[in-house]
Amino acid sequence: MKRILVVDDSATVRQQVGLALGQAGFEIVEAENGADGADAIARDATIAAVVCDVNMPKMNGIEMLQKVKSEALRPGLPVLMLTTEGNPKLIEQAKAAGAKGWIVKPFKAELLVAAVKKLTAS
Amino acid sequence: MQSAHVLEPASADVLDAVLQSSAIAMFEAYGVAASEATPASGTRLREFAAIIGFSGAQLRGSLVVTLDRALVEVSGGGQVEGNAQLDWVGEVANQVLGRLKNRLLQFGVNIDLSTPVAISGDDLASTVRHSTVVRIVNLETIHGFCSLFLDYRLIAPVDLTDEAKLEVSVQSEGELLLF
Repeated sequence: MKRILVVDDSATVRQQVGLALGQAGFEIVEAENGADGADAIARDATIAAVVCDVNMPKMNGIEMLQKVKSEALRPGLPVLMLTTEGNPKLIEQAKAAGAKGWIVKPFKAELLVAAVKKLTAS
Repeated sequence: MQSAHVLEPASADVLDAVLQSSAIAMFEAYGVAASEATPASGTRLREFAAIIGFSGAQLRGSLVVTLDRALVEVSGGGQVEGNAQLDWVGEVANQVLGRLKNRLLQFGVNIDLSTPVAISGDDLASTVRHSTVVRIVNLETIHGFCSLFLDYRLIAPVDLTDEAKLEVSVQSEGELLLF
């Protein structure tokens, strides 16, 4: 069972994402901000992919991506951004920092599951 | 302090329409049909409310989203209880203002959002500073009412009427973009 890290400051969103991915056979671990997300990535080598919000307290999702990349915590770990933001400048920032995809909330469960399956296929 | 700029009526109408359509689309995404409320339903704070601030070079202010309890529960998938209800109300405000932000961005108006704060209680009340303008949108659903209070101040001129001036192509809600 592949393990997915869900990083979002909303417990309800983490629950919704966890429900969708859990029903598709993924195991879920959670973090409520980018700092905790980066710690989880550094600590848990079994995490197969990350679903990450952008606007969060302590450390936002873009900053988390940049930390993961600059410290080479998990090269190649796929990160899918899930956020209310649709700003192309932010999307480019995330892409440059290593994100592999972007979904603007609210999300469709089947689309999220398909994206995570694709990102964890290899 | 009085705002140096005033939103022209046509732009204010667009702002109202965008705010209303953003909220209706957000609820629709969670399986709840919402429509403009009849004036008789009144405007007041409901049992749950979330406040989220925004700021930018042209526009700053806050959005208050207030909902009846049943609407919170149903829009949250029927699984939100206790503190999760407050968390969900904050997320509703975040997603409504996120949609508004993405629409404004198409007109070249960029705002940054704060983290939402949610509260609940009986007889909630609010005050508004005279230096700001408040736009109010009331929605009704079969699960209760939702009111939105957009409290803003113009820092620089904003024109939301000329679609030919649309400057930015913004990714739509629910769409997947893989790199």
